[in-house]
Amino acid sequence: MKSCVGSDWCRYGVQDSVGLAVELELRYRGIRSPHKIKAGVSGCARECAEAQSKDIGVIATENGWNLYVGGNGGFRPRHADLLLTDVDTATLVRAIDRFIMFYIRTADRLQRTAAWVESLGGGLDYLRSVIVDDALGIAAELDAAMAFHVENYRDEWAEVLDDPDRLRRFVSFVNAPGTPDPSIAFEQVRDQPRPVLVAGPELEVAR
Amino acid sequence: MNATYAAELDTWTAMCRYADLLPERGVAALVDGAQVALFRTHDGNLHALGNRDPHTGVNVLSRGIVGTRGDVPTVASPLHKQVYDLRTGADLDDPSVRVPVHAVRERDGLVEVRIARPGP
Repeated sequence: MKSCVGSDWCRYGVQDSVGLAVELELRYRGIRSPHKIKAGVSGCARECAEAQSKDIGVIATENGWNLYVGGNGGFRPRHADLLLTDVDTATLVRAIDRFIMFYIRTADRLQRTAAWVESLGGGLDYLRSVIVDDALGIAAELDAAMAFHVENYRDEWAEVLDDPDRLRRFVSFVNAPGTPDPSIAFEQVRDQPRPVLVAGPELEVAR
Repeated sequence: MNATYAAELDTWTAMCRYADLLPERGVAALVDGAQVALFRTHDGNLHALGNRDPHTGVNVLSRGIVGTRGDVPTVASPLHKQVYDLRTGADLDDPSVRVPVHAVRERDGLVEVRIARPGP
C-alpha cells in the first residue's frame, strides 16, 4: 500500500489519502491470494502515489474516490482501468473487497490482477457487472468471505514471538542457538554493513 | 549448549532432542566448527548431510525442501533446487557432485551425530 501525503500535508490534496491507505492496509493485511497485491491511494489527480500502476489504485476527486484496477509495473507495465467514479468511502471499500475476493476465487496461481483482468471474457464491463450489479449473484458470498478475513486476521509473526516452541525454529544452529553462522560476515560499504560470503570450514568425507 | 559442546572426533555428539525436529524439515547444527544439516523425514528416519550446498558454496541445505524422488528421500537446495539423496549425499542429476554424509542416530530421545572424517 502506497499513498501520497494527502490533504493533511499537501495544498493540492482533496481527500485524506493517508487515512484511506492506512484503513485499506489494515483491512487487507495478511490475505492469501494468487499473487502479491499492490495498491496505491493518491489524494488528487496529480497522482503522486502512482496508483494507476497498482493492482488496486484509488485517486481522490472533489466528490469522493475513483477506483482503478488491474495496473502493473515491472516487465509488462499496464495502466489500471477505471472501474468506479466519484464514489464514497463505503462504496469504494465494498468494491475493493469484492474485486479482491473475486480475483482470489477465480485467478490462476501466480496470476497478477493485470493478466487476470485481461483474461476475463467481457473485460471491464463484465467485471463491473459482477462487482457493482452482482450479475453472478455472488456479491454476498464475496462480502462474507472478506468479512471473515478481516475478523480473523492474526499477526502470525507476533504469535511466533510469543511461542517459545516455534521461536526456537529461528536459530542459527539447533545445538548452538546463540552462535551466529560463522560463514556469514559483513563489510562496510558507504558506512553501511553489507554481507559477504566467507568460505566456511569444509569437511571431506570418507565413504 | 554452545559450539564447544561438540566432542572428540569420531564420537557421537548429541545435537538436540528428537522431538525438536519437525517431520520433512531440516535444522542446522554446528559440530566442531563444521556445519551439519539434520533432517527428519516423514517416516521418522534421520539423515545428516553437510550443510554446504556444493553448487553455490553456501550453508543452506538445512533450509532445503525435503521430499522424495521415487523411493529416494531427497532435499532440494533452496537456492537453485539441485536435488540430493539424503542417504548418500549424491546429486541425483549430476554424478560428479556429492554432499558429505554423516552418521546420525536417535538415542534416549536425543539426536546424535558422528562426523565423518577422511581416513588416515
